[in-house]
Amino acid sequence: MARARVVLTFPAGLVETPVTYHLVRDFDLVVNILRAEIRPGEAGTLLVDLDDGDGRGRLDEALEFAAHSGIRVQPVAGRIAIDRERCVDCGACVGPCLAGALSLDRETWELRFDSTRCVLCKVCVESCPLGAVTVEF
Amino acid sequence: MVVQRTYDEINAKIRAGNVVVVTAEEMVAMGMRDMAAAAREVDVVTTATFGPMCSSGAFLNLGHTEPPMRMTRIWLNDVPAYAGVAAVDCYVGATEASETEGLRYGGAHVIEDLIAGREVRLRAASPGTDCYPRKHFERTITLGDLRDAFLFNPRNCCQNYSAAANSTDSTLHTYMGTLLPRLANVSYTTSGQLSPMLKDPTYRTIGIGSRVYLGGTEGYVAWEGTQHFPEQERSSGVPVAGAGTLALIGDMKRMKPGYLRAASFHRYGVTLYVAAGVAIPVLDEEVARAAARPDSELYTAIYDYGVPSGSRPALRRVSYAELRSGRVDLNGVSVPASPLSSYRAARRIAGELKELVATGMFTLTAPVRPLRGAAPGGTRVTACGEGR
Repeated sequence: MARARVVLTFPAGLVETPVTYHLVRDFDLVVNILRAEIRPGEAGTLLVDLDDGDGRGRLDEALEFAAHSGIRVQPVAGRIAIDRERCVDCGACVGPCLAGALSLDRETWELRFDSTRCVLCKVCVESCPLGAVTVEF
Repeated sequence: MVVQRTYDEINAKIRAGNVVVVTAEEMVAMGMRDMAAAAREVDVVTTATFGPMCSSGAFLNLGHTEPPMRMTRIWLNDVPAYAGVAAVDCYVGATEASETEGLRYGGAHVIEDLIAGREVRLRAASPGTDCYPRKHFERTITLGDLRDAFLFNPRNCCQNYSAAANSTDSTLHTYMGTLLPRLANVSYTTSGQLSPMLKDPTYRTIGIGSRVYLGGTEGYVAWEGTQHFPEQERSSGVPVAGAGTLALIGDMKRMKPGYLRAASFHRYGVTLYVAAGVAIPVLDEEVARAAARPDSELYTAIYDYGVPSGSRPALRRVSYAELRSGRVDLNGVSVPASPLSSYRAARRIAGELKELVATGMFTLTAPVRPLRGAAPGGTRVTACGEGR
């Protein structure tokens, strides 16, 4: 039995492709969507559990199919941590966070992190010029 | 009644402790339509910015060694410093990368470490001369060990700066931050209505010699910054793209930790976040009007960084009000917009400068010479007659 929790990031052009349908039908996977952030015309992210249903499905091939289709596939492990001492509340991580987990408070202009929205795509880790965002395992 | 104020009058009020000073944000919030009244009411408006300013660095004098040495190559924590000046002078540039750490550590980090009082490893080499026989030198230094250390930033406080997006199919990692494919986000980098040069758009009061608040202490405008371009297209007198710039100078030994922060943009490299504040004297109604201009009347353009050319196309003009709302319309799609410069820090710095002015700790200086392209009427003509 194989299982994977992954974040699938769709470029804008693929948002309307029924990827989940293909994962189920073509690869016999059990797909559980934990979180989805999709807006038409924009890049989208999907946090999913993929299960091969006791060996009936073909998980590795499915992930290969997804990557081949132009979808970014990232395994999920850990959680995002923000070092408030290093953070200067610049906002460099906010725009690239398509899940909307990072935002700037419109009153205080302080960085806010909503872990319930985080899909662990880790774009914020690369985007933070101060090196204040890390993944904790 | 026409309001006219001189620097002397404003400074007298600062010294007497009865100056009326507000931050640029407060000036906007006052929402005054009657600019004559605003000018009557307010003496000084403080502005600030805290953003990545690559064109920064510091001149350091390392002190003479025994036997003496003409240091021709210098490294600070393995970051090469420019040593092509006198024997123990050097310039450490903010973006210079470490020879051992790569893009993770650079000149900006050396500057931040020194200001924070941390030790830095100095290494120097020389061919040796008759008067400077020593060939190698290595020791640990702190800011206190240096004979002189002053920040000299050739281009800071950019008056305005283009916003960025990316139309290609892959993510770009730029000095404008992470730009997601297919125009999925926009980044911008000024503090808008708090930004010094946007609040004195025709340089009536900011000029060469102006005292500024740099790195948490006093600094000065040394010159026009590099790439100063006052001729830029303007809307109601305010540039709609990159225009004026300032070269700033200040004593690093008096700067405070946290006001200069080293940063590294993924796959771009090292830069320095610089805290800079400027206090604008409300000389007349026109200065008041410019200082009161809100984000909704300040514009920049969004450029497509997916086009690898200096003449990349502008996607659209956008107001800072729209940018700062957090979402921007691009080709009919609402996409996230986020800043690279910290509005929260800019607000804090403008507030500190306000406090310094209000408590008589920071008086204002008339420019010794206006910036190139300055509108007339800001300063007195200098003795040698080259006021403007």
